[in-house]
Amino acid sequence: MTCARLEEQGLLAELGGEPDPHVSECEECRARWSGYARLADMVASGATARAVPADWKERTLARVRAAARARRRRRMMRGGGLAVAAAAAALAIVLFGPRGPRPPREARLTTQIVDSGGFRGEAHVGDELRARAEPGAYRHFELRVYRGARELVARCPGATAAACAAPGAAALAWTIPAVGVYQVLLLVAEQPIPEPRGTVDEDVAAATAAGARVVDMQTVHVR
Amino acid sequence: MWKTASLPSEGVDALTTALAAGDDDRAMQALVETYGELVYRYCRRMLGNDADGDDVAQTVFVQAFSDIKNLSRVRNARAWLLAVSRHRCLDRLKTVRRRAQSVADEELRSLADVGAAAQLPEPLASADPRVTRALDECLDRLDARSRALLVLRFHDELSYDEISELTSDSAGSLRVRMARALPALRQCLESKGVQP
Repeated sequence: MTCARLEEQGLLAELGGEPDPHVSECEECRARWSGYARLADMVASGATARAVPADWKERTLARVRAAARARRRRRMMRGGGLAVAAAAAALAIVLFGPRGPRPPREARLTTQIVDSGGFRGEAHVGDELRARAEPGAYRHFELRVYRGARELVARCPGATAAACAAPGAAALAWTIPAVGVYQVLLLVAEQPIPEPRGTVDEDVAAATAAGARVVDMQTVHVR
Repeated sequence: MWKTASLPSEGVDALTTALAAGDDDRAMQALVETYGELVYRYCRRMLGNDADGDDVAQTVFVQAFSDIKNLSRVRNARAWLLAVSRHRCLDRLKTVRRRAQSVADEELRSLADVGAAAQLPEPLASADPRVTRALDECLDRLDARSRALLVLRFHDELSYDEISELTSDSAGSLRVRMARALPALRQCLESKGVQP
């Protein structure tokens, strides 16, 4: 048996057991065997030069909170909470209706899915997505809706600014055109927010690099 | 390094305090703060690209939050998160496998930078950032199943039988894959001037 033959059969890289007897007698094989063992140690150590993206923790917490909200909503719906939802919707109208909302102290994003049957926990094509962004004391803000990770489908203010106008805030009412996972996010900043490039990650990274803050990111599953 | 690095005790303390107080939101913040990098790096390595690593690591914490009431023993949080990470990564790999073409070993060899091979190889040293960068790049170039196998076998210290249960591959085929993956990885590192 030679090193080349052992190598060809993959026996030198078979770690964890007894090596072929030839290995202990052959310096070249021993060196090769030790090299594989060091390689395995390196993988085992988890050594990596990759850094965690600066905004990853913030995005993760926003996603966790959005999932928690969705779960609460589903639980409420399952528990025969339609009446509660209706009451909440009525309260929202009182608070945010056209008769003059109280000025928000902190930036906030609220979303709602509406269809002809009223508010419900799951969204479908043709339903209306209503999102309301309250920028609080921030000078600049932008409400964005992405489909999947890449497609920016609505923004406010933006190309559709006229549809976004609302006293002291931005309100978006948008008919959902296709199934998918939609992400609604609110950015706020003291400086102008960079123009979106089309992917959630790139846009959030560019915005946070420019000093913006992601207030919230909510996920809507459209089936 | 995600395995040997010690975790900040203040993060674990904050998690313990928040869990004891029933403050789920603060507990989640502490969990992400303490274990976020560990989970992110694990998923990033296992999945071999930024987009999947980023996304799956987030879903691990979404799942963690739904089970946070059961995290009564904080000392188990790390192992529990890594186990969840492992399963979520394998789920993603199964999905990806259907749509992605993996890089075969032969192709991997051809990907090796022949020009760099002339450089004097350096001994493998985990503290050297150039070596860890080379390792990152070479692991990313491996096909997804081989990369996952290396992580499960050496980082997670699972036996071939245990990996077989997780991946539905036979232990024998896993051994064959390992016998091809390690030389491919070595060859890639050597092409970058790193001698294991």
